[in-house]
Amino acid sequence: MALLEMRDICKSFSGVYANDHISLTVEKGEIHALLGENGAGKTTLVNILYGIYTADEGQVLWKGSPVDFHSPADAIASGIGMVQQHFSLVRRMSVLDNVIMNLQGNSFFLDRKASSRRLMELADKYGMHVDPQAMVCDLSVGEQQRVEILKALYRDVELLILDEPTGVLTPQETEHFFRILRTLKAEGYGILIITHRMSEIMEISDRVSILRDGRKAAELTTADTDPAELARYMIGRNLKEAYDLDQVSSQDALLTLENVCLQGGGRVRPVNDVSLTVHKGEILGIAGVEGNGQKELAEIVAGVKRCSSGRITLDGKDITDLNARRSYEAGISYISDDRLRDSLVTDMDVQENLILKEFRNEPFSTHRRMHFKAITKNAEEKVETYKIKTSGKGSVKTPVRLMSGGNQQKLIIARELTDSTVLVVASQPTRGLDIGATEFVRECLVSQRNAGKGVLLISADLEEILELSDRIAVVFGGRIVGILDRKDATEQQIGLLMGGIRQKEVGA
Amino acid sequence: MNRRRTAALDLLIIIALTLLVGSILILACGAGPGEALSLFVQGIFKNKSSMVEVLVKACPLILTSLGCAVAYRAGFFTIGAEGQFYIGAMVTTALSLGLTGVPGWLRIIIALAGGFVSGALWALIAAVLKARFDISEIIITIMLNYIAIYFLGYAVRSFLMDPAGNVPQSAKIPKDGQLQVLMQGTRFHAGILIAFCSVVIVWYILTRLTAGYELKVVGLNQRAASVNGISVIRNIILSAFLSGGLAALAGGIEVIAIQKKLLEGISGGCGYTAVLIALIAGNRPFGVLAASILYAAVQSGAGSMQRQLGVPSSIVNILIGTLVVLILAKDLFHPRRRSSGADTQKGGSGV
Amino acid sequence: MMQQILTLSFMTAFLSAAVRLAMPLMYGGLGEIYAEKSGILNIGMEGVMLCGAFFSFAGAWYSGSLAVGLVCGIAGGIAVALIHGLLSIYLAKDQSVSGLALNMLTLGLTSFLFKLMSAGQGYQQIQTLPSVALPGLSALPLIGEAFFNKDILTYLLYVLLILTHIFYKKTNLGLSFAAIGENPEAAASAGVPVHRFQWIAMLLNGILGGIAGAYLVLVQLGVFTEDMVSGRGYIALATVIFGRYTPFGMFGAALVFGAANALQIRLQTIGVSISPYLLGLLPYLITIFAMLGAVGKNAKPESLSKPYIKGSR
Repeated sequence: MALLEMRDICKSFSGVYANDHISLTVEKGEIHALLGENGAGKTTLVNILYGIYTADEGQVLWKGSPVDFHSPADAIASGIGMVQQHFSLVRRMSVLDNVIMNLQGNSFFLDRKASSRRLMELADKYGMHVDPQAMVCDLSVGEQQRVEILKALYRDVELLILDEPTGVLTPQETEHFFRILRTLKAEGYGILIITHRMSEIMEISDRVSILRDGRKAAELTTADTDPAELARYMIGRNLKEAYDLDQVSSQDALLTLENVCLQGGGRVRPVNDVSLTVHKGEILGIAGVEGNGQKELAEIVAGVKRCSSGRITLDGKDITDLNARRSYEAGISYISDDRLRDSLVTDMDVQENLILKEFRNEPFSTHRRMHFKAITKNAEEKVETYKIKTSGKGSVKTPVRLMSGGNQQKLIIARELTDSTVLVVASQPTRGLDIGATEFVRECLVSQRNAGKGVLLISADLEEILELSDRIAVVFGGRIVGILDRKDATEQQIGLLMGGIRQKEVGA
Repeated sequence: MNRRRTAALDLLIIIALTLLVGSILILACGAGPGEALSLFVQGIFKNKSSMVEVLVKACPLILTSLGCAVAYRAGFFTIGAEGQFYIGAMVTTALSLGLTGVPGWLRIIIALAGGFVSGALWALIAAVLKARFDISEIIITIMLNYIAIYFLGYAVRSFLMDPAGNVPQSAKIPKDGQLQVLMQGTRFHAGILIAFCSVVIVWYILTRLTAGYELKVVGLNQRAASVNGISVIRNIILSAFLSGGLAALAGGIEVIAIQKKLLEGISGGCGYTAVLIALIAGNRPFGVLAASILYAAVQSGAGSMQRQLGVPSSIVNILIGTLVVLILAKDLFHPRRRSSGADTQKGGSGV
Repeated sequence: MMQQILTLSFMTAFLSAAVRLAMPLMYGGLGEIYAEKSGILNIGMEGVMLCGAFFSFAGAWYSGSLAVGLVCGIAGGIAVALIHGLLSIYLAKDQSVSGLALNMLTLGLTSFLFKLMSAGQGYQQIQTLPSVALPGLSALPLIGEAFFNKDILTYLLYVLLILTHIFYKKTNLGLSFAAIGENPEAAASAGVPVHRFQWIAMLLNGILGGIAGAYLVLVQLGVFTEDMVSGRGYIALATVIFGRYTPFGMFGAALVFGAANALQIRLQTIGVSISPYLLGLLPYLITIFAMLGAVGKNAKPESLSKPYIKGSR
């Protein structure tokens, strides 16, 4: 009898099937991987399992008997735990409080001493060291993930759902994390892991189910398959091989940062003494675990934040103190990692979003008066050129919030990459996009490079960095801990640097 | 098409429910609904003078609501129109009485302009605290209202008190410093034209100028505004300035066109009403114009009911409050749409 | 010698008045703590208190019983708070708009009903709640009179403050109630029924806000007047911010406001030659400075006034 069985699960949102008759089983002591593109329906499926959504059709069997979860509380009570992709932790509470929150066994008054003891025992058993008194907001992402897992284990779950658990970890942390998973597996836990990384599936899982467009495309035994087969099932075709980076970068420096620092609120500087150069016709990749100063660095270059000391030049001109508007006018385009918050006004329409940077200039306005004909014409051209799908008959008056993530990102690229661009700062430019849009974005970046412009590419996705970058800088704790040439770089080596081990020690 | 039809249906339900509440309240006063209705209509349409009176009542509402609408467009949720109205009234009075050597027409201009600027600066206090320290503008502006009200109470008992009288009010504004009545036999004054012009000007700024575009971006997504090179602080301050100025202008006009002197309670609470009118109008200038006139008409009708039947005129406040609550609650009429509310709702006070 | 006695008696009376005047703020503030810690901003506290005040007066007037008045006041407060709950929890609407609309609505409604009730004639004062001196404690110099020779509702507040403190710091349920204001998704994924708890918080908000309004009528004034809350609801919101969202912090903040109010009244009674109108604006001015003083101490629940919609991120 399977630990968990999901039968013919269907779920649709406003008429579109997110899950179309999906069946799945997880055995005790098994690691079952769920693979699929963004939007394939993985998260919907596990959210149904965890009681966040209710299925339209289908049945969930837990240890052989049908169950009907209406909320996470029901799922937890049955013994199902979930670690979500965006952690579900209260930042301004202690680790312990997060772990013991709303426990069934809790008495009315909390016994923090006893709970703390039990938490420490659990942490020791699996080698996941955390300080129960620490505030969650002071922890690194890796530590927060440990808290999430401990939180689930503390609740005596038998099945653990992990949604993209390794996205935020260094390769070494991932290694450690997998060791924990193997221990749990040996103890008889069932594990359902969602990921899009083939290598990890091959390494950790026993079986893999592949979803495509809301349907189950295949279920394979990991030992009998290979990444190429997985990819075929996942996207229905073969992956693009490589990008055209043959043209050699120029030796002319385009962007230089000298000893750039950013003073943060706390003791540590988010950006600490960073010096680097981007040449013309070069993509410089910035690798690193998120939260190590990349976002701040991108914002400093784009003029959104001002550095507290240091000097920045673009093509020889000092741009250290330029604000966002002047930086753009100097030729810096910025693709932020947070589309919805930073780059778009989602309640405005396509044409209004497309002039967010240029509305002060001709032909969109003269003497502060807006020219709507020119604005509409511009939008129609951009929509055509970049094949932006606006829902509702190609209208440029569609509110941006109604568009898919891929089309939103295309819109941003259509706005940011202009003839006067000399440097592109792209922060996590393909996050959350499907494969088609991802390839489109990457090609845009490469064509900027091949046109002799500079690209500063910040990504937590190591594969992306290795595929696109001419050179790779690794950040840790706000510092650049190593800069490698593409041909010399290995995943292993970058991984160590991402974990804070200096280049000398790596022995490159 | 379908969506438009539901919206129209919603509107009908909302109006019907509001009228229902009104009728219940009238019945509760022991008045006959037929009689009440006829008095209500008479109160508005009895003659030319009563119809003009609606515009006279609407005038301060148009300006204060317009001010609120400008601020809300920029995401600055001010409740300060009431206080700004008082400040404007005080400064306009002081200038009108003080500048004795200046010709009347010039005195009017200076007095109103002075009122505008003073209210604008008053509004800046909250704007700066919001922009600089992220302090809730709602609480600050309400506190500033009370301060302005108490200060006016002090002013009409001291430095602005009519030296010839012993009641708490200012001396009468000299005839040549008053805004003229433009239509004999009514109270149609030049201030109403100022209000209409303000609507057109604000509409033009908000929809045709880059400044309006900037305000909209800041109001909808502050973060995106600053990342894309639009100054949030500058826009909030600008909108607060304009917003406070308009409310203060309303106060000034009230003094030199209607009351002809400064006295306590001169706003009649229109600064608070303005908040809801701006919201009902969706912060659109012509919507504000229409909603203000409608509100003033209801007020006129209710006034006539109060005089004849003793139905308290606070019924108007109940009705407008009910209206806004119903607008917020309209999803209750068709529960299925509630679940899809996720993509239309944002956090915070994105008005 | 003479001067000293004068000062001591002045101080005693002043402090006693400060506590008395702070009491509505404390009840309102406590109600708002429950709401805001669960993520619901109730700008409509003014309206909750106003309804509490009116219905407590009406109840006490018609029944002749203060207890009935109190219950009616509480019911009035609950009604307003639950409408706010409907709009902000169930319909996920903008909480500031909802609160302001309710304030306008209740202002109109209470004035309207009061006019109907009085039909043009004035009202006599109803008898107010008597003070009960706590044996022992009330004999303490200065603070004894101020804190422990008070009405029963004041003592109830002390108890509620302590219970609230224990609730949030020491109990399982309190942890969940605090978590939903910080990160409702996290709380939900730990199995906390977010919406149900928010409804409970709004119920408490209504009860406490209703008592706050009733206190004005049943203890302080004995009469109802139109718009008698006159901004105290908003000041109560400020006390919560200034008190960093903790019951005792709020208590301290409310005392400061009560003191400001008491000071202006005391100064008037001893005949200081400052205009009562200038003194009258003092509490409001102090509120602004208090808000300035709270800058940087970011204790605001992170998800305050952001509607939580199940299953969305």
